[in-house]
Amino acid sequence: MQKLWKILLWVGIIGIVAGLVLYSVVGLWRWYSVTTEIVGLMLVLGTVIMNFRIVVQALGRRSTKYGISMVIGGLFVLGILAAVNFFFYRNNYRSDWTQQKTFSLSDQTTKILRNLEKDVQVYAFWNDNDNARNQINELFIEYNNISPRFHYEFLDVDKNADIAQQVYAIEQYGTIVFKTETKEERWEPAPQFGGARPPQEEDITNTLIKVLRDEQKTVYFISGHGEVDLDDAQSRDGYGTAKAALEKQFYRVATLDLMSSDRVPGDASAVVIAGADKPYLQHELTALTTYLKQGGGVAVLLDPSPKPDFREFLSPFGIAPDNDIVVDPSLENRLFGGNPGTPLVRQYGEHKITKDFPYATIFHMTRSLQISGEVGALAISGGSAWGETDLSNLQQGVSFGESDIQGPLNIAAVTSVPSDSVNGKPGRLVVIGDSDFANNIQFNTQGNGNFFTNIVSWLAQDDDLISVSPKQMENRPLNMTAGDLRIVLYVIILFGLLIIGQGLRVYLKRRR
Amino acid sequence: MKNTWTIFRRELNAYFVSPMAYVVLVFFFALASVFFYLFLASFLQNQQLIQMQAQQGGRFQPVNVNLMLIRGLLLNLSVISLFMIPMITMRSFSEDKHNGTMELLLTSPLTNWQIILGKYFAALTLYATMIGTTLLFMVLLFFYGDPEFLPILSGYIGLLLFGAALVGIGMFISSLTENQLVSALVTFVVMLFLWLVGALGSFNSTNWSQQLLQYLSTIEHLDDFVKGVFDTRHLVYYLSTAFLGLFLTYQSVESTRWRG
Repeated sequence: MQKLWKILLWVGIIGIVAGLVLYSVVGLWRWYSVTTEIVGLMLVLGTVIMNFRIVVQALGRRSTKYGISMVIGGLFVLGILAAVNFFFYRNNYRSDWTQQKTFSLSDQTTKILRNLEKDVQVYAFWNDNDNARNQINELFIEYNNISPRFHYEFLDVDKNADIAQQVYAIEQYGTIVFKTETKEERWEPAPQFGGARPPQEEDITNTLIKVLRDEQKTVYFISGHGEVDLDDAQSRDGYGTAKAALEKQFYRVATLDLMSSDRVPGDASAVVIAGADKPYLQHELTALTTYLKQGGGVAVLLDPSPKPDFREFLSPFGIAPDNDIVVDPSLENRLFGGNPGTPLVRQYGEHKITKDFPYATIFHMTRSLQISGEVGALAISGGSAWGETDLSNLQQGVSFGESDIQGPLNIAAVTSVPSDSVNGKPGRLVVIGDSDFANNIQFNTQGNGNFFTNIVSWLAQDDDLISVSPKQMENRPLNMTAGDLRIVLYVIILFGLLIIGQGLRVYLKRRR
Repeated sequence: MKNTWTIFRRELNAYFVSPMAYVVLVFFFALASVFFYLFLASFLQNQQLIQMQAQQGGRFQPVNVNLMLIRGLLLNLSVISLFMIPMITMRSFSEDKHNGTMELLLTSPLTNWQIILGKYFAALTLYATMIGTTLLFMVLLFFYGDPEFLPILSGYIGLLLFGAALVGIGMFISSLTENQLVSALVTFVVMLFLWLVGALGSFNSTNWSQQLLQYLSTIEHLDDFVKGVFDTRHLVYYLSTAFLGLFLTYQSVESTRWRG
């Protein structure tokens, strides 16, 4: 009889487990899983009730008591450990012990993540076997460590072809999609030899900022005076490349005709004057000055004479363009890719636009700028450059003359314009002696493109868009020759023999 | 405390007067040396290639012995440890059970915790000695170059904590059986499982179930240490795994008292 009860008990237990397994496989409670579950429960309960006396006796036994207390104690300890681990998982202290802080994010990124108020889901379309994936994963781990609202998932383009194509319409391998509840932004790698270039911290943070941003800001390029062509992405002088870069940063880019209106539209986050051939009319300049004093951002990209110098417009703000062309014949300039008429800039003023700016920039045929008062120099030529003022004899070669301006020269300048209302924010003004530096040809040369987009971001009050120089691995080589490698091998073998010798000594001693 | 010390010395003595400890040390050191030598040779080859490219006017590319050699090496040491730890822990209780000395220990005035901690720290000391033999490689690297010290330190702290957790688990399994071979095999399988469980969530994502699987994996927690990043999460994970192992050992030893 006892044996039968035992069998029934086991059948009951198996029934309970089987019911749960069926449920977990199907995902729903169906009649068969419910029946199995109920029968199992009834068998177990029935066995316990029918043998209540024996059960009570067993419970009274010392070993059962110990056994039960052991299980309860074990569960209790497990629960505490789980709670402790969970607590420290959420409240961890993390410190990067490498000298260069190789595995830490920049202060700006950290600040943005700490203030993250929405959940951001990131899908990275990188294949499982791509080496760059680990590199990106390491970055994502750091992002997620700072903010648990930063979620990420890697999707293998081949294994998840349907999701990649149908849901996200991924056109380029390596695309990373950033999603919030209301918006979607994507980062696409620039194609390069031997696979896609993995994103750096800068790329991830900037895309993150863009997906968090609610409004789309508008940047106007003024037209009607022979300015650069925004829709020309082919010819040398066009600004199509620059426009595309700004649109990638989530700006709306449009042209603005100031001749027919007396003010800058209210939705303008920044206004760019690039390469005008003819001087502006007075009412246009007045409109721009008003816009600046109301907290707007204006960039003036000049060119050497005979193009207009905007002196009348700029001098009230402390900037006076020289009537010259910057020439830098130094060897250094040539070494780094400049030529006499195309000075290379490696020195920048202290400003948000050029903070930690790692690149050189080049300016083909540029004016220099005289600055006074609060105005800061933004880009400064080398010391061996000068401003050639004799523009009529350029073809016969140039040399430094008495009337020329000795370098270093200011090629770009930046200033804030006090607001005309009491609590208004100040306007932002950037002037550059050259407009070619951001044309289709030069935009992707050196750091020109970054310089341009940084300027527009600052003008549009997007100070949080950042430029973090990619971390360069520290050089820590080994000074070893082939002979040294052999010495290392012998040292290792010798050490191994020492351990074996000691073992043998102990072994023999024990045998004796 | 004194009693724990006595057990510790007895156990450590048992390890080092038998050939067992030396077999473990030699095997480990031999495997580690092979890895080190291969890593070193490939690092030097890489370095030479990069230098040649730079000389031919290519872009200068740095080489870093910490990131390109030591990091990989330390991770590999943990893989080798996976095979060695069962050999270290298999005897701690199984041998006493098999020889019948367990009854002697249990009837002695020692408490269970004293016995367990003494044995645990003896096994951990052998593990630390084993890992310590690889410091020779670091000395050689410092002799021929200028590696960064702190990431190496954090790497070794990580390896010690990794061992502390796994030795705890091995002790528990050893307390369940009197057969040393069974103990070693089961320990190895459990360790391998704890190692691979993270790979089940290999999609690296922040999906919670995959995060949990990765959190349970012993290796996921080592990577940060080896990189040179110290995170209290990993410290807490290893210490609690070690504690869980010891607690279960205690329960298991305690049960032999009342099960008879």
